[in-house]
Amino acid sequence: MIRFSHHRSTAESLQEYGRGIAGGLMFSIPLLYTMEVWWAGFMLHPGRILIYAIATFALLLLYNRFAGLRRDATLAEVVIDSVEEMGIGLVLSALILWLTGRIGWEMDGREVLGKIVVEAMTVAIGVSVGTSQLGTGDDGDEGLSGEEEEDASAYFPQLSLALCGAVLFAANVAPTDEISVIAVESTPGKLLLISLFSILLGSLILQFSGFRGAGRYVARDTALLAVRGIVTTYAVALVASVGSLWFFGKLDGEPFSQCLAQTIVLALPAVLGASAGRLLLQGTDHSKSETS
Amino acid sequence: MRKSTPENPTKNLLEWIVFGISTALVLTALSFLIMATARLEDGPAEMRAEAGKPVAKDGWLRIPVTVRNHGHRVAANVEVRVCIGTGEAKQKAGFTVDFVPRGGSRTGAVSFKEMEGPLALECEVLGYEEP
Repeated sequence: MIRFSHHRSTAESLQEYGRGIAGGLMFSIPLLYTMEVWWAGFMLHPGRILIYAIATFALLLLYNRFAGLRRDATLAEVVIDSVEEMGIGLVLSALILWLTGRIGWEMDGREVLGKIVVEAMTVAIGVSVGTSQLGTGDDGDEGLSGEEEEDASAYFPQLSLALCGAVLFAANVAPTDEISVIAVESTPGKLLLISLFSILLGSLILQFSGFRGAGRYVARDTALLAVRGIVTTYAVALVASVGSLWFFGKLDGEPFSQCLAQTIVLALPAVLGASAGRLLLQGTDHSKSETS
Repeated sequence: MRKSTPENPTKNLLEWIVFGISTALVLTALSFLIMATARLEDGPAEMRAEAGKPVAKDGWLRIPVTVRNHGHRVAANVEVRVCIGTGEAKQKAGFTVDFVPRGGSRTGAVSFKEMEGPLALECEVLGYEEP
């Protein structure tokens, strides 16, 4: 039998779903209004869309486990929440695509489903973030305590959340043609500068700007830990960039130099997600001591 | 179904309904993608253009055209040409479609000045890109 950690009335659940819907649309509306993403729904191989859906589900599990509304939830609850978020994402995506005339009954089923699923994945992440971060904080959910809190501030959970943030930011920009245009027109020297600026940006956000949550979630006890955090954040941004570019077919048939250039260009917004986004995804700083 | 209480929490009816519908939607989407992946063959786009029933109005003849892709790849920048008439009276018109998905179709239309005699309508896909 599944053990549940929280009791909610129907009214409280409705509020939670409302927050999820608002968050889902807030985070995904740029993608829902981007034609390259509509095209991806029918241009990509269905196997690739399937991988994207599975990867998104894995990200939702990580986010719900380490930063979601009920961080003291059981594994079964985390899975249930993630399935619900994907379901809400599919419905919202279908609704907006239909309202804007991007899907219709006259279209082939594969085209319609492809468009809905591609868009729904970002909506689902937004639903998850919205549910946990747009609330008032007095909704009866206790968050973490003791060992669980320490667990969430540890290296792997923070790495997971950095990946969630990076993917959320990178996926919003990866499908656009602008990335390949910038990549094609950038000299190697300019790409190096973009790369250095990205690392500097990550350092600034994590170490020097007093960003909300940095005191609690960023390791800065020693210089080595600080450097590890910055390097890891940029590495996560690069991984999220490659993954997003590959998914949207932007690396297909491109030479290695162009793939690398696109990855560096996209890693700039991705590093914002992996640093600032990661901290924002975890909500308010509760003035706890640094734990990692 | 057990009722949720603060001492013994479980999901309420609304949450179970949302979870049930979500599970059904997610499983349907994944099943469809798995089937589409298994069935998708490697092959080129196969384009066909079919003219619909011409409509005459204000001295112009409007001919709707449906472009279908029966192949296994998406076709981009599909160029369609429509000709009517014969000999010196032959008129040509055309349009370009951004994308036609595999198994999908797109519609467009061409207009000609109304003419005497048989239409002798020809409709064809001139070419396309495979993105």
